[in-house]
Amino acid sequence: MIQLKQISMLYDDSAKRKVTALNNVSLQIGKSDFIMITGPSGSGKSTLLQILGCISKPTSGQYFIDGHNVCGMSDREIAKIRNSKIGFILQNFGLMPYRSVLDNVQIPLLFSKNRSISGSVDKCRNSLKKLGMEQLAKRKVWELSGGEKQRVAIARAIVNEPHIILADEPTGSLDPANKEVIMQILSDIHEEGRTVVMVTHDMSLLSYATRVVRLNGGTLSEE
Amino acid sequence: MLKYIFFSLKSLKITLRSTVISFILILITMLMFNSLIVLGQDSTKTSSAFLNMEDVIFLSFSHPKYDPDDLCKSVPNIKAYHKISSNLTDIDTTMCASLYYDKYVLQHFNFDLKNGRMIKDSNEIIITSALGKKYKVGDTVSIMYYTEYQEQKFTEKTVCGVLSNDIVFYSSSFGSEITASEFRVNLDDPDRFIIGNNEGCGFITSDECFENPFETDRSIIFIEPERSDEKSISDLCTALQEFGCVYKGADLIKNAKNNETKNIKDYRTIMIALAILSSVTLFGHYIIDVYRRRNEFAIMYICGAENKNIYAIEIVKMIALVLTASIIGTSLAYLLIQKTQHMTLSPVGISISCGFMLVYILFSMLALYLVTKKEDISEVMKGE
Ligand SMILES: Nc1ncnc2c1ncn2[C@@H]1O[C@H](COP(=O)(O)OP(=O)(O)OP(=O)(O)O)[C@@H](O)[C@H]1O
Ligand SMILES: [Mg+2]
Repeated sequence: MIQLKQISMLYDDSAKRKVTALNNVSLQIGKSDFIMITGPSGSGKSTLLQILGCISKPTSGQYFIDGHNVCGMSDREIAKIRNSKIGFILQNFGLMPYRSVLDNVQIPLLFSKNRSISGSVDKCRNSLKKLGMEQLAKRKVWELSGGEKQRVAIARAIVNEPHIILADEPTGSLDPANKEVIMQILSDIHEEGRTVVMVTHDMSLLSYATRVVRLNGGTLSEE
Repeated sequence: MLKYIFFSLKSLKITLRSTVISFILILITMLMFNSLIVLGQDSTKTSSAFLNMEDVIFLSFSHPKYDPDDLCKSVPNIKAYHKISSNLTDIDTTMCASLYYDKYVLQHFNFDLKNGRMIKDSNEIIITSALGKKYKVGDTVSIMYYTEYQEQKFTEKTVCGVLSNDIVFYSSSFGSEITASEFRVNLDDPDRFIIGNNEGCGFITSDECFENPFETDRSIIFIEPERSDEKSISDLCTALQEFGCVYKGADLIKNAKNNETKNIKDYRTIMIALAILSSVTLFGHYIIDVYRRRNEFAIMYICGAENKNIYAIEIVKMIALVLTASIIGTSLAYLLIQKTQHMTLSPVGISISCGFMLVYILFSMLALYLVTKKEDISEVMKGE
């Protein structure tokens, strides 16, 4: 369902030198995978996730989602994929702090091309309910604890019912108890039949995964 | 779609402080722009010069291009009636009690003589085309009128000309001033007419026949162009001395204009400075604001927004803000100007301010474009 073919990513650093963040990475991800990506800092994990999430385009290589080549798509089509097929969870939540929980969860629906769900409040409430957050819907995000924020972020990631959930160190800024909760939620999401790709440094979490891959200096290896 | 607009409007509330700052800046800019342009324009106009006159006799040796009645309507101390004299020797203190219409009056009001000739003596009248259907040149008409003491009087006139126009003389014009509101055409008795102002007909006559007790102490007098030599002016000044100050019209207007321009000049520098300051701050403020919010744009992008969606959200917000602020700013300017200068807003002022706001919105979109370039988005994702 997801296929990366010889993806390379070069960045220009501020001194105009090329930095290789990813080097010929090929990866196939199946529908029912829960993949963890590990690796040392600077190995290109976030870069890979951004490419998977259609946020940046690779310098070379090909990327297929459901058989469609993302690299050849227009911005509009890519935005549609980001919106409908992918849910993103970020380490630092990526929420708008001064908006309400409900508003934050609603963001993907605002940009949905699907008229019937565009902006639907019911969908947001359902999504929050799944994470046990419905009573916080009216609260402002900045008032919430880290664990609550991350659950809001997950609620937002799944509100559009995407098939792929991408998480960049979702437990990175949480205490062990909250870590456990979030991992359980991600497992549940995986059980529902979604693909989960997660970046982590935390070796203790690898047990949740069905598959672990390792990045090292931009090169991928299977564990 | 509604949700979408709601979402963008909500951000006005969320960033309340920034909204208030922009609001005030737009308000000030609008206020300054409108005031500057209105004041700047009207200082060169005769109308406002007129409004500054009181208790004067106005001598003009050029043909008036404006309607003194209209100009003086809102000024309580000026009663306008026009006198055009064809002969300077007529000008003495009694002259002001008589009206005499000549071809300049007709030209001035765009009247056009169809038949007959101009009035030569006070027993003649010129009638409008509506009356011209009933009477021809040489006929005698009987006229009823009221004096200012509400006495009913009658007089007879010989028709000497018919106008091709069919205008109605409005109040305070052409000697109908004193009792204009009572002037009605008497349709039951077609031989007896009074000067009409509502019924679609009227007439011109020499005014002497109505024993006309015009007030003469405040009057505007126009004198036909041919007689405008220096000698005539001094003659006039002597003759009209007892009515108050006598000025040459051109001087009077020049003075009034100078006074006004001076008033405006005192404020102009401040206003221009304020306008520039507030508009520069406005632009700067937006750039900072948009840069601070790049996180927000990155989040929207990640959640599947295209760049154009992000622009749309910002534009909706901007338009709402700009529209309310500039409407209030413009109205405020209007009120202020009304209070101080008896002027109204100029369309030029309004269109320039609209143009400015358009530039502001376009400029903001450019700032937004620069901030939401893709590299920034991945940078924001990492950095936060
Ligand atoms: N926008 C960028 N411009 C220049 N270089 C970049 C950019 N983004 C990433 N890099 C470089 O690419 C390499 C991979 O970065 P990436 O963020 O993917 O690492 P990571 O594996 O996520 O690290 P960490 O575990 O610390 O988050 C790094 O060497 C980084 O310096
Ligand atoms: Mg990273």
